[in-house]
Amino acid sequence: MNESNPFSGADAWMKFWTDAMSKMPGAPGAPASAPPPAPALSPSEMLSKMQQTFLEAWTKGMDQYMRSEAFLQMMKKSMENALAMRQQLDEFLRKTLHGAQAPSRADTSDLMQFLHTFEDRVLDQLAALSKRVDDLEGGAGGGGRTGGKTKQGGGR
Amino acid sequence: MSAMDTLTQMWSAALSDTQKQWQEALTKAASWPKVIDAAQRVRVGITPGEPVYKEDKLRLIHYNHPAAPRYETPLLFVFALVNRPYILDLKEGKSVVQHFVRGGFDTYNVDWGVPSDGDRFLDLEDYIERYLHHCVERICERNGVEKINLVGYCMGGSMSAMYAALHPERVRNLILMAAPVDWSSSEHPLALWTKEEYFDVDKMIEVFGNAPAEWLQWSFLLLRPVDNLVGKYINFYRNMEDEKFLEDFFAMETWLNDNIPVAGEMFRQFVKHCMQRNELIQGKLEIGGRRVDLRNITCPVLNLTASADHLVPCGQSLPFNAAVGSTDKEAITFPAGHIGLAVGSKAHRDLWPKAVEWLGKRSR
Repeated sequence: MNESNPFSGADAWMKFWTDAMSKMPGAPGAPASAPPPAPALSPSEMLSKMQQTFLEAWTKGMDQYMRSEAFLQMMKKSMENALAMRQQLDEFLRKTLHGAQAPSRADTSDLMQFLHTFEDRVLDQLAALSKRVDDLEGGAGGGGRTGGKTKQGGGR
Repeated sequence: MSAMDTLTQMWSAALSDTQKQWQEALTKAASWPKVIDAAQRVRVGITPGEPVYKEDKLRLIHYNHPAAPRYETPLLFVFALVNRPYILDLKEGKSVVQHFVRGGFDTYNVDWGVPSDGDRFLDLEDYIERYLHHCVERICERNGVEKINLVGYCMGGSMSAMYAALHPERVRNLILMAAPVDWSSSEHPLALWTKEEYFDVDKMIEVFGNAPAEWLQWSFLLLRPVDNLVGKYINFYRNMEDEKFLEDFFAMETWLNDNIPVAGEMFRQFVKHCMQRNELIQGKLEIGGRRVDLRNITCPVLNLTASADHLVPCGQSLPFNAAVGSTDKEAITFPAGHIGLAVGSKAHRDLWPKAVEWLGKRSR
């Protein structure tokens, strides 16, 4: 994280103005014997250059801000608030749906968790059975294919 | 020259410039029907193919070949879980898939599908040991081979590396594209944002179930907010009369806005074990009770990184080559961005023909 100079993004902007000013004919500091100045920029070219410089400076500034402690803390707080709000909304909906004797998202989620755990238990049992069959058949390695809990089986 | 003459000259230049600007604005206004037409005509995923295997929401796509494949070893693309895989086959002239299909490889792509609330408990083991493994088994069975070539992009690259470490007997060659494997440096904004002290992934998954697509999309947009929210549209305004530009712009926009949620448990494990604890590169990651040891990977490895990658900096990918057990390994850092690696014109001209050649030499 670079927080030592949070405004260094403005350097590009400053450079632009310094360059632009120094190119002006008769500008203070412009050497009298300097070669003839480059053709003056048209207003639209000037605007386009200003826009580009501004965007570059903004990009640098934003990049530094995105890495700053202030942004990280702000992001953390916003996330916490969003999660708390969402939890309250979920709780309200759960109670309302239960009041209407309808299943809520939490119920579906619990059911899915149950099925997932159930699947794991069945797979464990199958792996154990497979190992026993391999052992009984005297297979080398005793169930190397299916040893331990695995989700490898069951493809269609 | 008097001051009056200078002023007159400046005034006349400004007047002619304003006139030019108005003309340009009118031309742009007149091109809006073309813009709308281009937006409606957008077509992504151009190589014809059909699903040859389905499991839950996953589909394994097999691409049609104009002629019989030249190489015996088939090729499987593994894309990340956060977007759709057609970025690898975006449009004519910007399709990585086409390079390999035309190069003579029997090519497959995994479409993970869009997880719903019911998929929140799918974890790393489900994705690697079940879905990905079943796809590989299906391809081996279909093609009558023992091994396949794996090409993993972004998070799909990390997953391919995990798979190759767990099943080295099934992988003949491994190509990684901008694949993060080492999260030890927290210089990168994404690595900073996901640090344990700032991001409670457990709480997030407990509340949301899956990692929401919109949340993921905003996180990616915020990595380069000025470019993504301002610069892109200025560039669009400047080039909106150019039909080729419009075609590319809308194809990319279609893909960028096609984010999908990531299954909750998978996201939690990936963030916690890989991004926060950096277990993959250290050989500490466990999937289904088995340790993922990258030294088990002994097949030839091609590690492609992008020098201007804002999402996966080269420092997160290059340590992979030192961690694997392979002797035939190569790393190419290409001057492109994260997505430019897959869709950039330069990459399609200079990088992909080389990658096809690299794989061809090792697939005979």
